[in-house]
Amino acid sequence: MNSCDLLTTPHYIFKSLSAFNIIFFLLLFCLQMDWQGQKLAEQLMQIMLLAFAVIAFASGYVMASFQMMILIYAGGVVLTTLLTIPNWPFFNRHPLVWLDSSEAEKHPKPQPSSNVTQKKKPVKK
Amino acid sequence: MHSFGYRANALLTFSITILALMCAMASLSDNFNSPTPSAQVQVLNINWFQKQPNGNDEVSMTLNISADLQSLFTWNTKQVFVFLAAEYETPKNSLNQISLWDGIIPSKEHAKFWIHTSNKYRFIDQGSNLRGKEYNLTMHWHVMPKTGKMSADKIVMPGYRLPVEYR
Amino acid sequence: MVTQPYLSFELQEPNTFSVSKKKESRTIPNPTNAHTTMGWVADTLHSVNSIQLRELFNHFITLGLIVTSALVIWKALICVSGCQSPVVVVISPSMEPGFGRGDILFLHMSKDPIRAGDIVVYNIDGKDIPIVHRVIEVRERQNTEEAYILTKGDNNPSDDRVMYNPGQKWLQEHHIMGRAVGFLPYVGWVTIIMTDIPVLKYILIGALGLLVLTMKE
Repeated sequence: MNSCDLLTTPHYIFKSLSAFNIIFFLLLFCLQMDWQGQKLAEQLMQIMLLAFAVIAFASGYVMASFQMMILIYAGGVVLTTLLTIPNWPFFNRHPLVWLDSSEAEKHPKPQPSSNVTQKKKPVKK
Repeated sequence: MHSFGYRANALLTFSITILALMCAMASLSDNFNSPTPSAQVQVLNINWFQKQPNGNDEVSMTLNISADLQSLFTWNTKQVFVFLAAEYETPKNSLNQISLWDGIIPSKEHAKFWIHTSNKYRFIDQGSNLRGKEYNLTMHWHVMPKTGKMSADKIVMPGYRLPVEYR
Repeated sequence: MVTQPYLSFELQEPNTFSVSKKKESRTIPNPTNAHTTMGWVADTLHSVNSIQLRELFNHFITLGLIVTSALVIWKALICVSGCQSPVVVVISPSMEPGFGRGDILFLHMSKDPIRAGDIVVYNIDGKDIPIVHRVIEVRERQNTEEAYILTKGDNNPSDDRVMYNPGQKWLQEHHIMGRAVGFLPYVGWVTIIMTDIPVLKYILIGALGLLVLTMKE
């Protein structure tokens, strides 16, 4: 039994795939998305779904098969989900830069203003 | 992740709305189909023609039905329900419609058919008016779509007549 | 924002609050001074409560708006279609393969006379489950609008007389609730599942309510 056999056994493949998947999805869902990325994700989702809908309808109509339209659209929805829901790195190209705690000390926090108009409320005695 | 939930919700809503739109458009596309169906019915034989004990006439006949309904099928058609009805007028009723035979056509290949059958449903009158009666045989069909609006139409074949005497 | 006036109240009218507080530390607390401090605490508590109360009211009103707009849409649909229940779910397999279990039918009622071949929804007197079947026989009387109607499910071997009331051989127009004009497959399974497993209904409503309350828009 050399190492090649070990690599090709289904058990090994299953284990490696699942570990890879877990790491992969943890990584994706723990990453952040920036504002530009969120806008990009939303636009991408809308454009992809519309495009797939048009392609699905056109091909279903031409091939005279309702089944084909539904299948293409379902595939499109799955693809869109994979592409826009997890926090891929390309959505984080303009990352937010938070202020350092040392910097924050230097700038005073804004105070509530003291000339707020007095609200009419009966004084409770 | 609140933005993750928000994106998932937006995706789900949008995809379902688009799906509903696609179904509506598929249904609308059916309107572009201009069907040219044809049908022919021959009454081969009147098997018997009697008056029931309760006073109603009943007739049994053998029919030869042939039709070509292939042009009714579109990509959005689930099945076509076809039935043959006898229509006639009596002094008491301005209209009588009685279904004699019906069938389901599941696909375009089966839409051109020829069938030799006796009437599936009993042809009974409300009364005793059928002797020598002139009647129309109307082929009705009902297109049931995979999604959307259903439509129905018919071909009227006039000129059939029942025998004058009971057999 | 609601708390601001109370703070400024305190700042701008020191004679009522802070001055009295200072006096209090040296003198015997007289009833009026104790009252004002207690009043101030109560006021602050009240302000905190009223923030949450306002937001809570906001959420409930939003929820109420959603529910009432759904009701308005439903009533409008009833008006447009002319039927008491314009959307029905097919439960029995008696119209297969055309309408299977879980399909949705859109109904519409018009003044046109019922003719053979129409798929109608009817109610038998005394029974409250509407039935969707096809009309196979019609007898229309001369001079009046009365019609005698016989129905049958496509997948049933015989006509519906076994389902009518004993002695009833025909349906009348007033039994007919509407004609089926539109069709949507599989969407009705949600209703069937929620009717079969009532717990799911409560879970769904609870989840929706929670979603509305926790969403910030």
